[in-house]
Amino acid sequence: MRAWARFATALRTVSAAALVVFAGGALVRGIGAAFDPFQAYPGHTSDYGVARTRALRAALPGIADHPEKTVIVLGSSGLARAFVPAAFDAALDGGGERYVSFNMAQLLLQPETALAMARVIRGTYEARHRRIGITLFGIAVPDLSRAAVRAARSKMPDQAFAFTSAAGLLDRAHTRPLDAMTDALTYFVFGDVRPERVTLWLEDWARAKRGPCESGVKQPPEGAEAQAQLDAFCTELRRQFPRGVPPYNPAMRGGLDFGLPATRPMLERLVALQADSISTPLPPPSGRIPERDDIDEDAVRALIAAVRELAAVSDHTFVLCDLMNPLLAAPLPPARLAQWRDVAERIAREGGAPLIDPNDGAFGPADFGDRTHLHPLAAERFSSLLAARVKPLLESSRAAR
Amino acid sequence: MRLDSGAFLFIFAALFLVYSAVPASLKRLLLVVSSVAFYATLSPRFVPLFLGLGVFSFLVGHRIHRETLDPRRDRLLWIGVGANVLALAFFKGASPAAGSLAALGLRSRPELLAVAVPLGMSFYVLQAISYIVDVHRRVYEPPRSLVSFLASFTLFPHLLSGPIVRSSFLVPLVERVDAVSWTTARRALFLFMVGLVEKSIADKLAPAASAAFDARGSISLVQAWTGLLAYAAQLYGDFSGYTDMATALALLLGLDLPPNFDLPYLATSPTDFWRRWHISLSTWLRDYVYLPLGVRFRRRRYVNVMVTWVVAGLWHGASWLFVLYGLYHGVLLAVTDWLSRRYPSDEAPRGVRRVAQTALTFYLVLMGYVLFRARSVRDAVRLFADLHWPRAPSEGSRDAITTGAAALAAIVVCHLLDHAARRWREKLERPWVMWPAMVIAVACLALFGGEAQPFIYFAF
Repeated sequence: MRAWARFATALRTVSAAALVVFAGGALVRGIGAAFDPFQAYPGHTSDYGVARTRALRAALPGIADHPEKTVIVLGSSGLARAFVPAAFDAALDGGGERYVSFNMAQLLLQPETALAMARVIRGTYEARHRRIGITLFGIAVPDLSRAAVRAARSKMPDQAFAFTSAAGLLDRAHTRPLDAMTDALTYFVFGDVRPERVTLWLEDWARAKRGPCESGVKQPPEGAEAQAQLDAFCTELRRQFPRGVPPYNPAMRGGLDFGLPATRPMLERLVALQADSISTPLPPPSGRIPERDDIDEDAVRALIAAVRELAAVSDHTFVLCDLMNPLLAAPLPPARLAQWRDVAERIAREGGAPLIDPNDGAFGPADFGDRTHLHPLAAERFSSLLAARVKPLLESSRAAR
Repeated sequence: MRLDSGAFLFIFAALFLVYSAVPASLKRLLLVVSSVAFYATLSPRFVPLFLGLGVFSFLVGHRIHRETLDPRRDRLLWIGVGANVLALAFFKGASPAAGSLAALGLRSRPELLAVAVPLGMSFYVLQAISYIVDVHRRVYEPPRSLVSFLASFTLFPHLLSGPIVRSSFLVPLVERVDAVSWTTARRALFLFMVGLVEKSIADKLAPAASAAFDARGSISLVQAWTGLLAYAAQLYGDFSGYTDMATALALLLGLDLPPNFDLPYLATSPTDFWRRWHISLSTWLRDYVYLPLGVRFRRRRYVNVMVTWVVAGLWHGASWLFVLYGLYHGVLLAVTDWLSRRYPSDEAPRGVRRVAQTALTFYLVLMGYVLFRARSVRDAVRLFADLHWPRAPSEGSRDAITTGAAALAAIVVCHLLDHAARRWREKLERPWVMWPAMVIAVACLALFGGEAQPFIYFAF
């Protein structure tokens, strides 16, 4: 056989195989698209966290095109639940420039996702020759322990994949070339959602599974009245969002949607009814608490890199410590708290951004809907107070210029 | 790098294009380079050992071929075979030996023995031995070119889990290798897809098998049988799937490897089973262990069978469980042989008798899997008891029945796929059947493929 004929047969074979793979991929994409946007109910449970990640990516170009100066908020679930853009903007207003904020915080945020998101955000803004007004980069140092990072990856292995970018893949190719190549091929064939995730959607659809209705206040509620309030809350939420709460609601600018203001009476009543039980001291942890946490150095480095990426396209960048439930912090050894503080300071210092620590006693155990997250009503107050903390920093920064 | 990973297939596609364009002499060199590179991605520190054994065996084969005096030829044979066997015994036995030494309290330098088994060693050592023995028997003239020999010795598709292909078969194919036709390429694509589907089925059943074999205590009768059936399906799907993928890749490289499976769970006797399961290993054992033993110890027929199967057991790993597994199959084969001599019959079993014999053989094979998969002799005994002495059904029994049915269905599907890939090939390779089927298979594999598990025979 002549060389050309041999090569033509090989080319035909490879093309046929590639066509089969792409056609199969198109079938999977089609099935995935039938669920897209998959509106997990109520949209802020970690089961479908990747739905929010994808929705954030889809919303990013629109955010970058926003005519006014933008505030981008990145972080883990603590900040995702605590940051209410409207409350923050209203409190920040009057300082000269007007800002419009967007909550891009993500449940169970993994360091690699934070870095991938930061890269894509930077690329999106640079492509438009625009800059972010303020970046608030939330960090939850306890989530950087090896065990926590491992648990987050196991819960949502495909989170970072939703923010796959050429720069991220190239960076990964330096250390794990084969994994990077597999990810690149998967992305190329199936898009930004792994087929395994589509399988989960299919399974839940087949089982007609409905996610739990979460009020953001202690669940399950204690007492008949609280249960009745939760039922009323859920009924109202379902009325507003028959297909489930969107993982990214443009009307809320990414703030998690609890159906406010229509649900405010139910939430206020739930908070009032549950306050006592939330304030009850948590049972002491079994066994001795180690003096220091086993912090994942790679995770810390990824966050530092992410802060730097964002700082490169931001007028002002702040690193924001996660708000801690005082009940959780109380039993911890001082050495551990100091270690967490050191890690936060290091990320801020090496990232080149000032550190804001909101743990100043303004929020008590009654403000938390569960062990680690503020309830929706306290979140509004947190956002206003945060704006009050940011405002003088902005003014001093402007004055310095 | 796994044969079923996207990265591997992408690299293979690029290699395939280059391979098809270059002349035959370069093809062989490309085969060696790509095979060594493939091995290096998996086990870089053992590349010198792997290549060293290949070159050593090639040289020994040549010396034997040139030597005219029989005593010298015999000596060279023992050196060549001995070095390969010693290397295999050291790497397979070192780690268990280190464990035993530690258990005895002898911890002087256990780290010296605690070495990993080089990937694929069990397979390429058998290839090397068959080459040296064939040259010594004067049934095969060694190749002149080291590159040709290494191209067959290191051939990456079958390097890690077989099939064990002898140099006498593969080197001539390598030496006249040419690019494939479109018909062959299409056949290879289809066979690869069959392998992928089988492997995916195996991966799906792995958790069910592990639940039974890795259980800490006793489990119910239903759970035990479900786990065992799941393992039977997993092992077959995994190994046969790998073989199909390896055969398909070799086919694209212009090398038609012999089949390694022939509907094994339809065997009507243990002897028949070993004619259908891991055919390349059983024929290797027959030609290089059993027959030489028969020549030397003609009257000890059944002892020879036992020795052969203990060797087969030890080939899988240096553990008492594998020795017992080998002995078990040795006994089965000896009894089958004795029965066939006592009650000779030229006719193949039919009807009810065939069904009964197939069921009995399948049962005996399953019992062998208890020894093959269990973590310890104690666990094997416990599982054997769980399989035969009913206990009260546990909470998970209903799910277990469903999984057991799925495992049985998986066995049937894997057999059907293998049967279809070989015997209904022409019908299935019609474009309007093959391409849509492959597209649907890709989508199903992506959606329902399950978590990829390591190939079971990589461990051997």
